Amino acid sequence: MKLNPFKSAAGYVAITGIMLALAAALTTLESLFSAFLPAGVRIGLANIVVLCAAECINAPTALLITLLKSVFVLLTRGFTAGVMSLCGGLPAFAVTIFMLKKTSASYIGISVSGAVLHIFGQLFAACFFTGSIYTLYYAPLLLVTAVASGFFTGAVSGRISPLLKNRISRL
Amino acid sequence: MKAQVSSSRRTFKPSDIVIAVIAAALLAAVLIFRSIAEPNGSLAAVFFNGEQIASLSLGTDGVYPFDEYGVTVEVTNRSVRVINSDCPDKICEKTGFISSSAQTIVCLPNRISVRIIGNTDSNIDVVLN
Repeated sequence: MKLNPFKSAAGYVAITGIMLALAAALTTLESLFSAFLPAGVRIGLANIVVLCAAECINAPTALLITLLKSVFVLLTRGFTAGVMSLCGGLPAFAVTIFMLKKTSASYIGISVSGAVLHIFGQLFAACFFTGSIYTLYYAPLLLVTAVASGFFTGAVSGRISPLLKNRISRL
Repeated sequence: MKAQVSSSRRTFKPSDIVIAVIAAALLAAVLIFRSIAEPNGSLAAVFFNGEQIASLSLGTDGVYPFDEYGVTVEVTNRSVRVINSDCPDKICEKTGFISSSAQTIVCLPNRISVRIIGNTDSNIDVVLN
């Protein structure tokens, strides 16, 4: 698994560091919004970063950002939040990579799939924590909002990705 | 670099329809799952880590602080809600009232969940395990 696809190691460290910082900052920003949103609903802004990293750098780097973002959540918001972040982030990463490599789906399609897998990963983790399958009570609302937020993050990724790719192809 | 692929991802593809169909099917599945749950019960059960720690009669209004678990539960008008929690997300508070066994209130940071259980009315107001 080769992390750096570029000629410059410094360039790779810089761009990956910026993207991880962006993912962490967006996650924190989102926590502020979530106070005004219904129970459990999040926009998933960090999804933009992971999708752009997967598309413009490579899959291992996107996985690295996903994992380190969860470590950031673990350090700032505690064990449960960290585990939940991982349980959402890993399935979302997996489906994002699968769709990038194996399908011609649009950024919006990929982003919606990632958001849906993210909430189901978290819901099943929550079912495990509470010992009750009825935790899926939260599923319909989360599913509808995941599709909506997936549309938004997918559209943003579609705008950013070509620009970013153009910039970092010279590294 | 496979830059030529990326521009085509700006428009919808047949595989996007597959995603839409799967998302719609999932929504239908979770809605059906919710609708086939048991009828309304008479007790609000409070769980910690999946273990029941208390059951509250829905027939008796009251406020029940679970200080060591960080949540306060209120029973009003045959429904139950979490009115206060020391967690950061407040997902439990925002869930609001539940009155059917298909519903659950979850507070993951505190590992607390509240469900409606039981089908028979009893004269007991609170049972603390």
